[in-house]
Amino acid sequence: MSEGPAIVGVHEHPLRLAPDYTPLRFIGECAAAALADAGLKPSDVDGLATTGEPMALNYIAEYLNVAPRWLDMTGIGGSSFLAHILHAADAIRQKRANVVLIVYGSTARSSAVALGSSPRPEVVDATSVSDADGFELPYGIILAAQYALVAQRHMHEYGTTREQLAEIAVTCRAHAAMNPNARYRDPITVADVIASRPIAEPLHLLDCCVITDGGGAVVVASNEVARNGRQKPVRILAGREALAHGQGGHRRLLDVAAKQTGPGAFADAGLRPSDVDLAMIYDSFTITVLTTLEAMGFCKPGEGGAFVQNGRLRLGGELPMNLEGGALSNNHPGRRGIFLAIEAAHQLRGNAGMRQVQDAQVALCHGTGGYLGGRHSGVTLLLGRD
Amino acid sequence: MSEKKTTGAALTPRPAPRLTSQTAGYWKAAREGWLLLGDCAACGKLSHPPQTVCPFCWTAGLGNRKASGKATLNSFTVVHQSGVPALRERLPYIVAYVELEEGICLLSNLVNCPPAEARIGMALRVLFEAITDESAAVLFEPA
Ligand SMILES: [Zn+2]
Repeated sequence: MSEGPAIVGVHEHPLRLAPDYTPLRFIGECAAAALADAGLKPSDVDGLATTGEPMALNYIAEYLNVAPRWLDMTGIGGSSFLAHILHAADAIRQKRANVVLIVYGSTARSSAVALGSSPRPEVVDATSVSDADGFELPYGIILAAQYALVAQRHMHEYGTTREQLAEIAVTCRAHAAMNPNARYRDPITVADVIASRPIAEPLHLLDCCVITDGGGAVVVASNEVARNGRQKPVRILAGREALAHGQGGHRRLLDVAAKQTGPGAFADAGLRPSDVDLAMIYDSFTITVLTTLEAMGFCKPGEGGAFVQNGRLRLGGELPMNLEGGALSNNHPGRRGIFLAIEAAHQLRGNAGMRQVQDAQVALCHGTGGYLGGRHSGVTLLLGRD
Repeated sequence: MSEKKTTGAALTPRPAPRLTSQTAGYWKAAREGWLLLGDCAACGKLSHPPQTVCPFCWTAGLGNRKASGKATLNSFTVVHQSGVPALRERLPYIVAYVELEEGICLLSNLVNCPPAEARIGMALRVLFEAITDESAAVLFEPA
């Protein structure tokens, strides 16, 4: 465990609104800061990963003027960066790379990208791989609706309440108050979430992630680099990736991709959910968190509503979650998986400041990318300290 | 199904689906008042959406059959904000995850139903709303 590849440098960009930025400017600043955090120099980088439009990696390599020998542009939605970390660890074990830089930059807020109310934020044209868009566009199947369908079904099958879902948003906001960079920091109550305007019922505005600009970078390196690094190594213990989709018309809405990844990731790491000290869970919407908690085995299917109550997810609770405020309050530039790993790394190093989880040894990250009610990805990553 | 009802004539037509060699037949059938399901002669499984390769056994040349149009509501959401201009005229509208009596689930809209009256498990029937001469939206209403 203490011999393997590790996260050795991280950086989350402090800006949430940057009209004069481009994605590459975010990437450049984050790459430099993450390398400095790691105590490495640009010429050390021999692996490069990102997600985004086709050939984005070509532009990034030119901008950073690096010549990587290992590349990854897995693009499976917001969870992609966790997949990059997983793939980078494998590549490093195979000696195909030694120092992998994973980067992200987005001006979603300045560009007024309406993530939640659009049917599909990506470009869809005649070259699109999907014929299926035609089966969603005429019906106004916006992104938020894909999550709301899962929420409604969960409420129907298990009696989950809007108040229980709201508790997740309230928790993230309470944590955001401890993050000076967070987009929203004023406390909210369950009643505030309930009373916010409906977007796609049962999901209301405060059940939905914020939209910001932003960027981040993560450096994954071999044990040799990690041992001599500036920071305590954050070990990549295990991880799994998976896709869920319509299954030819046979999909059950509550069969989320996380069910395919959680148990395997724990088995590979030789850990149980009770070993986890903090969870970083992609909170595109409150329901995403609820279904993920169940799928990871923190509680039984259907018990997520009760599980999230009574401060269990708060700092000081049994399973502190999204300590920097999550997508619901901190930042969401479109694909936020990278930020899950960045905060987990700070927590495991013990440098998370006032939001530090005491003696954090194991962190779980789970990213959901795409549309929970339809095509989506799930990536689970278990991280630990030596 | 025999009624072949349509709805929404006074509104801007919904976004037209992109017609491809795999999907044009489905949309044309909808325009004529039929919901088609993929029907595999090799493995016997039904499927949706239409594609030329069976999503279960990958046999090429997938056939189709007409659905009865009887369904139940598996889940739904009342949408209050939409980035799709033609759908904005229909706000609030109900996105439905519908389970056909043949066992196939698909995304659609529940229409002719006040949002407060939508219930998971309610019985539905199919209806169609013309989009172009070559396509129609496949919708559902309370049975
Ligand atoms: Zn077949």
